[in-house]
Amino acid sequence: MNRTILATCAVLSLGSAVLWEATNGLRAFTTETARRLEVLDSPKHIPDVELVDRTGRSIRLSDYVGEAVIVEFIYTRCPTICSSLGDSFNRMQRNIKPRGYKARLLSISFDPAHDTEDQLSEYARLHDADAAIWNLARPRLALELKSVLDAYGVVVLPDGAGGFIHNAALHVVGPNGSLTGIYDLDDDHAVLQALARASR
Amino acid sequence: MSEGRSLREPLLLLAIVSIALMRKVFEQNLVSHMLLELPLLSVCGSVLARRFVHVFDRLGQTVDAGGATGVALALLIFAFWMLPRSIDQSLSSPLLELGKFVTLPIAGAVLTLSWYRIPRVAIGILKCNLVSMLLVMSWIYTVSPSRLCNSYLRGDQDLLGEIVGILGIALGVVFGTSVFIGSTGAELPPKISSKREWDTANDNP
Repeated sequence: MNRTILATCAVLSLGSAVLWEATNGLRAFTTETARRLEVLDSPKHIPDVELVDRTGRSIRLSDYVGEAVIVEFIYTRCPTICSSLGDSFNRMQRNIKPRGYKARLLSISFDPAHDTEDQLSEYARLHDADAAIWNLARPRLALELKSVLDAYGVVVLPDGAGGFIHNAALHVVGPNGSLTGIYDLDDDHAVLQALARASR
Repeated sequence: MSEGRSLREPLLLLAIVSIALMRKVFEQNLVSHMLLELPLLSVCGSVLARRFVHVFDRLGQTVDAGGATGVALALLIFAFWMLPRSIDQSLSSPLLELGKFVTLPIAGAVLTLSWYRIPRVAIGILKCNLVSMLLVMSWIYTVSPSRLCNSYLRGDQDLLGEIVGILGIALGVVFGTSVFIGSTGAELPPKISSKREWDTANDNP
């Protein structure tokens, strides 16, 4: 009986430790929560890949020297969540200027085959994007698209009807090029606080 | 008969390898991943272990009296694979995928080896726990406003929640019914028709 108690205690201790580790101390039961916590605990370096913006110009995150960048991932044909992401960016750009934050907005399309310069410009027009603050771009190569999505932890799945299902969030990249926070698209307060910290 | 027995173990191992080779088919959607692949792996381990119940009985009586150690290990493994995060990671991490194909048969095997030592009351508690966990899981998967698994569609999540809910209710009905059918806990007292019998039954002079 004593050996059973010892064995059970050993199994429970080891198993609990594994579950504790697997859930970031019982804080993250889903991948989405986990990626947000991990970034907050330890900012993540983002690869500085080449993107093509809506004017056909090559850009990189490193172009935004000394500025924080809020990144969102969209595809312009998206009838639902990407439109909300656009609305969210619209609210952000109205807050950034008056508060004097050193920050830019960047919408990255994960559907580069369809989202040409024209499509990105149309999305920008629909959401009243201020070109001085908000840029829209797409990766030049499919391989680069994958590396960008993997770096941010964004998963894009075909929905079977020609569109995509994807996790939507606002990703704050600090002036040093590290991903420092991931927030819900309606959590303006948290994003603005993150920008305030980055602008200090 | 003995030939059938000697073939059973290799066939079960082949079944586990086949599930591993066909994992892309099982893992195409959340429902077949969680309700076919995971249980099948555990069932393979369980059936495989039945052959070794007597072999491990002595060891079991030493370190698994009452089945406590085995039940704890199996429940912890099942709990790990119930996490939406584990399901997602098994698709992106080959190490975790391998871990799934190793640990779930072990969980099934360990539970089977322990089963014969688990007290009846504990089996009843395990059944109640299974039903409640299925219903809680169904509730979480159907009411969650966002996708729990990044690798699967929202529709899959809803469907999984509904099927698990039906499964939980069905098992609850089966277990609940079986509790009230069978031998009773007490015998009917003898029928008393006269005062003398009443006095005798109550030891009154």
